[in-house]
Amino acid sequence: MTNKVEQLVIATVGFFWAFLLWFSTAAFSPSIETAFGLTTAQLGLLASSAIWLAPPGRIAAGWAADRIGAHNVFAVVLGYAGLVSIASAFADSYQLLFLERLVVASAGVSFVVGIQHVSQWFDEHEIGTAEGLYAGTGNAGAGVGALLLPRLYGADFSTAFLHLGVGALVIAVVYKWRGVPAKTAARAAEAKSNSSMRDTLYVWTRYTAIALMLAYAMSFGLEISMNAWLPTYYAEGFAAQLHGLGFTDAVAVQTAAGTFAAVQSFNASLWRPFSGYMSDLWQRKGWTPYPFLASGRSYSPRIHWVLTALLLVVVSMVSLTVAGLAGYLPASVVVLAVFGVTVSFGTGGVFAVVPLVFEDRPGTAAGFIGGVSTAGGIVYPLIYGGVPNVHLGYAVVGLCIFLPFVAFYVWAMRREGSLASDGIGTRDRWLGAGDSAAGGDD
Amino acid sequence: MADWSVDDWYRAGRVVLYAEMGVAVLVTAFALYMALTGTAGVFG
Repeated sequence: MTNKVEQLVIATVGFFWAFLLWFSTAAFSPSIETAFGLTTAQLGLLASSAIWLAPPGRIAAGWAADRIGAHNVFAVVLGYAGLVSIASAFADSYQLLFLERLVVASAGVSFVVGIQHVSQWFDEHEIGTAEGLYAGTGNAGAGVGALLLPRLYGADFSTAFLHLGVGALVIAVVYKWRGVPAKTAARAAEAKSNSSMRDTLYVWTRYTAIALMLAYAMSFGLEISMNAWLPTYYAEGFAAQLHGLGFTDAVAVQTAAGTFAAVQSFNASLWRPFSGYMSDLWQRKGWTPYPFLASGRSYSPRIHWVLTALLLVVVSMVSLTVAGLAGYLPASVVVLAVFGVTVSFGTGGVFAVVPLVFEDRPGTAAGFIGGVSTAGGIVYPLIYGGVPNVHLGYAVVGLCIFLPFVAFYVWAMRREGSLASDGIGTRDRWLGAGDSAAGGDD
Repeated sequence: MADWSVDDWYRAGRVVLYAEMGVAVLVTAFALYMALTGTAGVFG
């Protein structure tokens, strides 16, 4: 026998460890740089590589979760990532380490697997809180890595990679043993039957799915871009202040910069369940404050909550630039904390809606929205590092990229029309006229 | 294991989410202390 709480705990622990694996490379960047004599370009390549496999990997993993069950997919991902993490502890060249850590980082694809798993166990009125607890607690793995790994292992990244790999193998076995793909066999079978290529294309062409994907690129894509970028930002943008505080050698700067980076990561992760709870609350209360958004869809209050989050994200991006230009480190840390909270409102809000909009294709939808949006983690740091002043990048991204995303979100969510008709091609075009009874996404 | 009722699990879930927010606030306070004094990195 099992129950939904046990399934939630299994998924959450598995995802937490996957995130720890994903970002453990970044936590040791300065030590790896020293051990292998890397150039700045090589270090940047290593840092950005953590995200490369996420977009295609999440799309495939989400589809696979619908197809063969989340418990199987999660166990496989943790199993291979754990084995390769152990192997990376013995890497004797940068090239080998790079390739192995690239494979380990792909453990991050498991996010959409757990989203699918949780959505198959929890009901509509509680899905926001359940998904928030899963994803938020799991995301905290990045912050725990940044905060604790350098303190526990110092510069000894090899031992850390070894221990993290062994842990992943243990969790993989437990996930396979105790995991059950859905509350009922019928629910699991329904997800499996809706996982064809046509179903995938149907999901990808819905304006609502595209808008939620952009919203997630503004929140989770932003969060992971900051996980990779913030240590560099604080080391460069506040170099004089850090030196003045006594952080002079590489390990001390690594620890200090990692701590400041953890502020964003912890707030973005650990407020995420609250955002899911707020989405549930808005839905229960029927709050739809924006007159230019549709209010007649069954999940409209949750859509309104997401827009609130997106507007706050833009404001906090500009504020981060202002705090940086002011050159006062404590102010930047406080703004970064608020920034993290607003990001969590976006991440938690989006995935409180996704399983409801695509209740019969949760893995495929989560794979698209959670996968493509991750590309933000690759693109934004290029802008942060490309602008003349290291502090300006946040405002540039917020105003030049995010505001158009918000405009599309408003455009896509303004109509009361059904999901079936509101996209590129109708439901009949993608699924055939005979599928209307079985689909049920609307 | 018996299945939890919605209210039971939801109540426990709310306690967890408030606890997680508390951890986030503590980490922020710790980082802020480090940013102000430079001495909070004693564990480093």
